[in-house]
Amino acid sequence: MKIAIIDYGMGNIHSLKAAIKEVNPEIDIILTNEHKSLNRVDALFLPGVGHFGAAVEKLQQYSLIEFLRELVLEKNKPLFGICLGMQLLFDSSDESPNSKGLGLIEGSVTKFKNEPYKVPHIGFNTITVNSRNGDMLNNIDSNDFYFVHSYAAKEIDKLNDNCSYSRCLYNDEFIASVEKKHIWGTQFHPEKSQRSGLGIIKNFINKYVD
Amino acid sequence: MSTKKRLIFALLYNEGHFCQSRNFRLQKVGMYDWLFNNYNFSHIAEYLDELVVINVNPSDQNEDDFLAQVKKIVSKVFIPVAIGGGIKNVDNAKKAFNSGADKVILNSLVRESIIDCKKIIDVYGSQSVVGSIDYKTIDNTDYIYDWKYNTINQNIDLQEYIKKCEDLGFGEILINSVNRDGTGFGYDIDSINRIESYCNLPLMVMGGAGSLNHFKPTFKIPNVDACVTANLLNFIGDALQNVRHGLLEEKIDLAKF
Repeated sequence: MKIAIIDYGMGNIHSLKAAIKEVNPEIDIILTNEHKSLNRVDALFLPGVGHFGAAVEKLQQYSLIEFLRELVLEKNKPLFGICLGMQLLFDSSDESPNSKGLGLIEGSVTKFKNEPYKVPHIGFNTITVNSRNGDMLNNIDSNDFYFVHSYAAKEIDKLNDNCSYSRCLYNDEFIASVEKKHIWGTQFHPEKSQRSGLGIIKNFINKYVD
Repeated sequence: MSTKKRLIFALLYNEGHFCQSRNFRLQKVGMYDWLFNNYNFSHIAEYLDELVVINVNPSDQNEDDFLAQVKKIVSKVFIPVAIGGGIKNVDNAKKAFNSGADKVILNSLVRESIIDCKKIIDVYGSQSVVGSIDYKTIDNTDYIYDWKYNTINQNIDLQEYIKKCEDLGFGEILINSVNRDGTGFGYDIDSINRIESYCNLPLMVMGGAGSLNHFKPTFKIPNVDACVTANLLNFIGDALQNVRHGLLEEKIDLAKF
């Protein structure tokens, strides 16, 4: 039982690590950006706080863009992106138009409108679950999760039939979580969202980590 | 939809112990182990939206010990955590974030070094920096209170001060009523209403919560985004759970966990 939190210098990995430990104390968690180590684990977490362009640059610095694409698409390695980590699953972001994301899920990331509520979107908000055919939100009692972001993926119509997702409304409607087979992403922070958040991490681990 | 209002607990740390404040005099309550083993703080935290941890007597000597405690706490609560006390520059802030903080709280630094406030905000973003103000109300006028000198500061107007925090790029404001601090008499609705009328940032209010009934009228004030209590002993056992359920029944827009 081994998982890796991809360590590329962008984000609060302390909380995520604690949350995974809380869900299953037996799991071996490594923080790494080394290809060899990433190859050997059962599943990957891609956390992230900060600027899309800066994150892409860091990923490039560790030659992780192509490597992760191959690992996830060809070797079917499960990947869970959180917050900026989820945005990186998409093709691109307005925050840095020249930086390409991982392109694992079709669509782009754009800035929130400024009205009626203040940007960044910060705090607990309610998600609406669109389809229950995925496993991410199984046995999750609450729909309130903790968000901190100014950009979001909003092209819900681009998600294909392979995706289940939830959405949230804050000035604009956006994708709050997405699940495309073994590729999972949450714009909210499950590690900061009480038991429901831990439940999502648990669902991922139960499914993909043996 | 707008985001939910927040129920927040503040843990006050003083030289190895967590304390309860009584009009700014500190009463020792217990150490970390006591908090989690005997007091079951993990259970209490399940009914909170956010946790604040403040080093009330910060020094260069106790910074590491304090942050070591923060690290332990952060690994046991799964909500955002804001850290305050002794953050004077980007290096201190960096240490706090590396210890698991999601936000830092700056108080006297606003009066001591605008440049350092600005730097911290530039590096970590407005959403991660809270401006905190202790204030004392005398004859319906609210004055900034400086606990370092145990006195009110008559040279700075509170409204202008909050405006300055907004201009500096703080993400939210935490106000603590010294009159009510640790009394358990309830939040000071009058002063909160005054401050709310000119504060354009999300407002967190602190000072005076002693029972369930104190939260509802405070949450009803439109710009009050969060109610904070540091009153450990009044909210032991299932008390915070009851507060939360009571507020949800009263249609206060809190997250449903």
